[in-house]
Amino acid sequence: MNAPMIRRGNGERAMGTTSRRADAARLRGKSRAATLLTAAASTMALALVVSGCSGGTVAVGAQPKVTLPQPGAVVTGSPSAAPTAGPPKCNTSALSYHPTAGDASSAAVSNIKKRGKLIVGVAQDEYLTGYLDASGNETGFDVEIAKQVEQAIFGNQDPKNIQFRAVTNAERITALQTDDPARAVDMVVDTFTITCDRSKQVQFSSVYYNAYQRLLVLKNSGYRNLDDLGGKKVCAQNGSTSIQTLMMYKSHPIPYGVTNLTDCLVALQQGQVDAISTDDTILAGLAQQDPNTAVVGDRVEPEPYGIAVSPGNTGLIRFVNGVLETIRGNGQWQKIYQNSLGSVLGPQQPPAAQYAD
Amino acid sequence: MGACSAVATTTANVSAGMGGTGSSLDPAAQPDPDPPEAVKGRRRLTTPARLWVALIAAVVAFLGIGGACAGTLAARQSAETNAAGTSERLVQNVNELYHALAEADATAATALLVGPVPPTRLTDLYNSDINQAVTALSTASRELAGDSTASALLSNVAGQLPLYTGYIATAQANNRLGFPVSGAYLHEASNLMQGQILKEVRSVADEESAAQRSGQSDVSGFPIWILVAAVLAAVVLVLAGRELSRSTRRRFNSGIVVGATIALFVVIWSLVATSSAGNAANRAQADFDKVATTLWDRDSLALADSYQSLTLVDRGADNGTDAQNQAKALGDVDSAALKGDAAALYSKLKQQLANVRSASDNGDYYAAVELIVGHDTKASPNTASADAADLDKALVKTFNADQATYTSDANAAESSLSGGLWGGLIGGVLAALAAAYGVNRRLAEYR
Repeated sequence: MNAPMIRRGNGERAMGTTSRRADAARLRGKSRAATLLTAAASTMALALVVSGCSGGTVAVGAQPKVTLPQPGAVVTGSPSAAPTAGPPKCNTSALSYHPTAGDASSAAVSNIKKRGKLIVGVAQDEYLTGYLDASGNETGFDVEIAKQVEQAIFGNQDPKNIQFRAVTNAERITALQTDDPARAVDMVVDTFTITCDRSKQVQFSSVYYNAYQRLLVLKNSGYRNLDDLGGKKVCAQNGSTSIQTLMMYKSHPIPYGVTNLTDCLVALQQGQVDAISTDDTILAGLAQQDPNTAVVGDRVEPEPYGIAVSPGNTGLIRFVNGVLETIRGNGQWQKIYQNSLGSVLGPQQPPAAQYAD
Repeated sequence: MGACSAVATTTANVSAGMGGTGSSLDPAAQPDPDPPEAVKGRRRLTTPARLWVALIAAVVAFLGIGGACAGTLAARQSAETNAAGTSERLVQNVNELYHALAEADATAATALLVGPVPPTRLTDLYNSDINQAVTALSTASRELAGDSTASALLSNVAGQLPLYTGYIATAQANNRLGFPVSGAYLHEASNLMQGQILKEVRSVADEESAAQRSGQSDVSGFPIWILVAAVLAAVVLVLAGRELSRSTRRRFNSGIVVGATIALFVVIWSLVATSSAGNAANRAQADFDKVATTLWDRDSLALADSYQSLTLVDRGADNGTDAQNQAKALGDVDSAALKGDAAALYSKLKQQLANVRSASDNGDYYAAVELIVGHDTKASPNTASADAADLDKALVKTFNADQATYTSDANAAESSLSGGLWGGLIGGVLAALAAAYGVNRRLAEYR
């Protein structure tokens, strides 16, 4: 749909010109002498005003620096502020409650059954843990764990009975607290590390996987661990435990925060950061998407994963813990692990359950 | 306008000059510098000298009228030519650039939704959009070469466009492998497009719209300088006529009368021409507003499409900003101005997008994608993207109709003014010749 051209008017006849700004450019409507004069004048003006600039002559041999857009931003904040407050000690592995016999008929579980659908907050861009496969289906380690809970409630796995809602890391808590039906979820299974602070805002299950914060670097970069990255930009997700670890780490890396972890891979591929620091599960997924990268470094910080439900929903969390007990024992956990993370992270055993009560 | 001030100063100079000549004939007045004496000296001018003064004053007055009319009409014609021939065409061009880029972004996002292998229909559309954008960009850059603000903006766009297509290509490559990082690259591309490129294009378009507007208002303003020249000339002619009737004992000088008649005709003709051109320019301005509304509606719809697809690519992992942006873009469409098919298609599209929204809110991702683009590689008639294409066609039709009206009104304004330069100049010269001839006949009596 090309824009139709308007026939040019009898510009040659027109002598007077308006004093409009851009008239210098519209030479064609003027007499030849005026054209020459204006051309001379604007050439001089251009040379004076925009020399070396985009509108002017291009300097031979110049290599202008191209600034690529940033997928995230450097997180500023005092690195020493956080640890001095000293979070109250708690045993993150033993914050949940024993499953009991009547959990399946608890109000929380019956409500989900009545609704006909379990709503789960997941990641949609974390390769191997929670992502959309080529046919548009949610898949990955966390997603399969969530489907086990669905099966326990409804008796089978059917896409009709489970609804996945993509949440950002920062949204994992708010989605459990909100009343907005368009955002609310029953539970979050999204590489959600159990911490003492978070356990005051949401209710965690027993630990279903122990991840560790490690590093993803380019294979030829020479970086071996976080100590090598003092003063270097290291990417992590805003609102994650990883970015807090980076802010406090003794070698003082520069934390670079993004909304979604895949943005970290973009930043690494564009040379905007030197490393990505997060859970080894997620790094394994990123490494799968770029064979030039490798997961390296010490296991900096343990990241026990739990399924989270809204605060105080003990009925649902006891039921979920029951499901986790079952799949630990019947080999289902091993099967799920082998199909997703196992090929990258090697064989592992499910973590043993511990409870607060 | 310059012509008129020239009338006043030239007349003054001429009188002074003539006074000087008169004084040389009467040496008594020459050495006395006192103003009252100078006035006395002028009164003591000989009759032929006074006739000469009247002749030159009348000639200058008539030429002044002719010049003012010619200058005003020619300036307005040129303003109209610029507004309609250059600014408006650039508005279209820059708008097409905006639309092609917004549509390319929407298409790229939609193609990723479909699956690892994008349908040929969508890749073709994307390629054609980028091609159209580059053509529009190079045309606009050429035409706006002298405008440093617009040039700098377009040069930024030209620099960012390859980055954009690079991001899209990386997203496509990763998508073929089924890697989620493709969504991140798509987002980078979209942020660059929505956050920078389209904003830059929009400011160039706004600048050209303002230029078009100012050109039309130059044409429709009141022709004050013609009136000023006419009043000044009338004063000069009355004074000259009085001098002539005193010196020649004739009530009217036939040459001055003929000249004044011609001048009056020229002035009236110029006023009629400017007024009819002004009316046409006002109509053209109203047409332009319609054209601009339609063009921006197309752009807003393309943006809404793009945000809709992004909503599904992100599936909520964007804190809801895609959905907000999409609602804003849809709201920017001036639905009251939509006519005929377009109005119906707009409500259909809005309904379809609401269905998509509720499907994706319910987590039925597959159904949402189906509603937007279908999973088939063939175009399905009942998808949001097909509805959007139909609506776009209807809007292009509206645009073509409004644009034709604009062109004809702008041409009417221009042709009302055509011949103004020569008409004014020839009228002025004829009137001056008549006056010179008439006064010269009286002068001849003294030779």
